[in-house]
Amino acid sequence: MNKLNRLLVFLFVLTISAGSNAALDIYIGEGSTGDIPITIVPFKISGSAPHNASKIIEDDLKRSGKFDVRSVPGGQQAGSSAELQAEAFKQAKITNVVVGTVSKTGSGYQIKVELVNVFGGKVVVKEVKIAVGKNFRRKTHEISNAIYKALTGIEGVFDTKIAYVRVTKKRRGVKSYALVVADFDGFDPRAVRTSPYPIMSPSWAPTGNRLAYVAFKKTGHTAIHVQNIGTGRRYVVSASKGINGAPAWSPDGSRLALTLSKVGNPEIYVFNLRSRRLRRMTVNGAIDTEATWAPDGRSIIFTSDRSGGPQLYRVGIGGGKTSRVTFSGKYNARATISPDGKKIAMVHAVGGRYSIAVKSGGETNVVTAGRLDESPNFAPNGEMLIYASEYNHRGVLFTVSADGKTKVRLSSQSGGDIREPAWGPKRK
Amino acid sequence: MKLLKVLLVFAFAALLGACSGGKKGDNLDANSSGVKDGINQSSSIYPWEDPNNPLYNRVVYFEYDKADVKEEGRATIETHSKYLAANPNQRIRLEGHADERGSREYNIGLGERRSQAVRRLMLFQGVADRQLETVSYGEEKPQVEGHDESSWSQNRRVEITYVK
Repeated sequence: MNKLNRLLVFLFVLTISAGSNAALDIYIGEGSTGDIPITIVPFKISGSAPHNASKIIEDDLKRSGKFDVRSVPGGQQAGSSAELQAEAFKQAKITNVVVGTVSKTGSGYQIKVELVNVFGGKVVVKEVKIAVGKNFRRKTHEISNAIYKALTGIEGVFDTKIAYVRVTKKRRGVKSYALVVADFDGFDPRAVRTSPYPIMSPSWAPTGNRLAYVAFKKTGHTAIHVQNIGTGRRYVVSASKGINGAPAWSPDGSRLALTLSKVGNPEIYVFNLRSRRLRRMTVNGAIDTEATWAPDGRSIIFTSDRSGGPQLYRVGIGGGKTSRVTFSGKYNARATISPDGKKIAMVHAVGGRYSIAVKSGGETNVVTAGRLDESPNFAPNGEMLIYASEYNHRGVLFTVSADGKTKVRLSSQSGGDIREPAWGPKRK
Repeated sequence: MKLLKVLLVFAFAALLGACSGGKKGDNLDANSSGVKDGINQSSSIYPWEDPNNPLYNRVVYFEYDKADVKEEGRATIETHSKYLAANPNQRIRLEGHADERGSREYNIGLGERRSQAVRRLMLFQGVADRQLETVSYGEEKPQVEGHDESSWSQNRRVEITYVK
């Protein structure tokens, strides 16, 4: 990315206020958005609605980086395919149009949405959702998934959850730490654990109902906890002498990869949650940490500075030879592997800047432009990454399309520093 | 009944405080360099809490991604080692820290490596293993909040914490 383009990225910042209590800033990289032309006509609301459904869908599609989201030509209003005057869209070469209505029904709301291909004259997607209680946003995200799937052929992840660590400063620099679960777009944050001492490294169980994480005690000692996020019940998996860190749930949910330093330096272990047996995976005097599982569960990639500085290595779960994965750059750490196993994202330092890079085959591309970016996580469909960065001297989260072109900042509703995102699994 | 219990607990705690207060600094080694015998006998603070005592300096600094103890750090460590060797019942905790750059769990490893480096020196200088405990905060507890080298250099550290 040359300097001019980088400048353009920042000039093209579109600040969009999304609802009453959060804001979404969309950074469009390289002067381009995605290439699927689409317009979301503001939905017709009968009575009132708790959230702006057409806006939710528009933000979802923008965030994905796959769409060229255009405004409504001529200020046309339409709540259904029957009301739509397709000619204006055809002239503007907007192939895809989303129309819909939101109406009160019984104890909830009916959200009725159609995706129309104006050139084919066809309704491609027709979704009717009933939202009851607090699930209005989630039901709307499900409609975004259907639209996304119809136009890209890829499963959407707009109804998934994220976990992250939030740090708030109280009086006299005293900090408060919280493990938070929120919608993927940052809405509906809920603290599932709070502590006056640091919390680190959340990892989702593949079932999406539990989190493993690290919690400090007052003395600086650590423990790895597993917590059911529905019931709040938790138990300690490891509290051995030294480091208890970097838990990573295996794809089948039966094991956790951990970093323990009870032998005197950090080594990677695999802990079987059923048998409670611990198996050591690395034997090296260097720092070995930050294990992440290959999607097939047969190997892990981890960070090690056995060659002098941090680089990524791979080892089979059944043992065998350890092989070095990264050779480009002096600092490569904290890997995350795409669900198809083909891409590895990592923290990658170049010239004193710590950015997120994606390695695909022999090629490594830097996809973020931050100075202190960290904690990358692939979306469950592999099309986006979430990562931690800083903005106005505060810790914030961003999503970036896997090609690096579209970056979106998630604002926290409650302030504080936000860090260490973990993208939850697909909804079953 | 409950109130009575609470009062009793408080009274007991106060008594304990009074007892230990008189003993603070009593077992200072007269031979240790710069640590003067009796300097704190009349005061109620511990020697490492006294700004005029060399034990007051309880931080050792490191270079980026390194755990080698620098010259000034060696002097600090030696001062504490002498005191600890002469006071074998005194325990300390070595808290390793890293600057904010790079990944968090790697920095936990780096912080531990730094605390281990200080521990090894202290063992070599006659401190007993049971007096020492190491933990690592990585980048989670910076001393200075800034995002530049002057802040980072103060955050790459091991803090020596006396366990009371």
